[in-house]
Amino acid sequence: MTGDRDALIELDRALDEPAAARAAGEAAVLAALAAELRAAVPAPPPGAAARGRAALLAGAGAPPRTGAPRRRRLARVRRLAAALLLAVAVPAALAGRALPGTPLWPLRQAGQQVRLGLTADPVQRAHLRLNTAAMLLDAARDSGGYRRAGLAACREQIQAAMAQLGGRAGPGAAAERARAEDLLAGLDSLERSGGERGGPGPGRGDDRSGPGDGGAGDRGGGGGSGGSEGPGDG
Amino acid sequence: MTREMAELTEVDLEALVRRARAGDHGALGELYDRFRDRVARFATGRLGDAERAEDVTSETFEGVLRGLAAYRPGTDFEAWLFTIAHRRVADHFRRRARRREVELDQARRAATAGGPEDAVLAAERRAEVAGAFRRLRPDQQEVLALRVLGGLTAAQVAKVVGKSEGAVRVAQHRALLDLREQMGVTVR
Repeated sequence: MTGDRDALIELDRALDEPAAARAAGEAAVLAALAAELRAAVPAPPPGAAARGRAALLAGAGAPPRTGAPRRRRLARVRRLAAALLLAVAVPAALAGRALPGTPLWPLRQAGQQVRLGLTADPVQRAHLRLNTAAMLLDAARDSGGYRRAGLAACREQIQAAMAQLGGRAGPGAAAERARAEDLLAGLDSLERSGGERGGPGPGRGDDRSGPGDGGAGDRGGGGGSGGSEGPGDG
Repeated sequence: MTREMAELTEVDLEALVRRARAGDHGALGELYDRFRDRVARFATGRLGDAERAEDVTSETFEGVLRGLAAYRPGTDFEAWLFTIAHRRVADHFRRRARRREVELDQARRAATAGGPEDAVLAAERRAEVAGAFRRLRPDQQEVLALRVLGGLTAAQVAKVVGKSEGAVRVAQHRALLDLREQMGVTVR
């Protein structure tokens, strides 16, 4: 190694700006050699640059590759979405089966209010209320623990549905009215018998389908559907 | 190039990189156009094979595309780019060693292709330089390829190879002296 600091710097400068360099002596010779080396490297094959550019931009246009930070962000968003889903769906699902006197009953009532609020047709509203009444009647038959409160709520639902049906004509209204009368008869029977457990009664099973609605859906998704609205609704 | 022009270019480059990072394909294309030849020259010098050099060049820009999100704005983009190229070249050497391939110096073969008398002499001269370069130690080839063929500054080469700027200056000086010696002290 020459170790001459000035020589090193002079050569470095000559390599940086070969055209403008005023190097002399060894630096000039070595810089010229570097220029020859530069010229000795063959030019890229024709079209290589264009092909490479097209390939690069095609790669950039593909769905973005997920780098680590992006992956972490996505994972965070997914976790948050899952937590939200759990926070909303689980209580809602549980509320769908909630009975009067249980902690989730108010949530179910709120869901039912929303659903009723979105339903303009009185016959459909009556249908939703009767779905709830049928659920309460079934629950009262199967579980004595909520029977008293459940039966009272069931009666309220039936009465509200009948009030909504009023004197309305038409096959849908007639079907709902008949269903309400069946449910009421079943409720009366259950109250009279002291709530013995038994087979299918009025309001249980297949009589739940109604105008514009799927019975199973209404029943299964009862948390947001059936109607246990407060007084004055309808 | 004046210092003001160099600074302006640096600012332009930084803006270009920021746009490319934001998904601007036009900016990405500009970056490619701006650096593609330098990367290809560096790779050709190191590999002595234009075809493999093309592979390395493509792989380098693929690496840029993948790494742009992680690139820290304000750092030396050219040094970052050539660090990727430097690693891709090393990968190729490793693969080549595994395959035990005989090195094919296409640069030398292309340089000795036929033509008019002056062109033949020039081609012979280029072949001589290329051959001498291939006989340098790998670390010397690396420094000269980055500095002379890649067009990096000594400071940038230092970042790529992980040495001090002073060590790079010494290394490039030594490498050029050895290159001259390899050529039988016939520098014109």
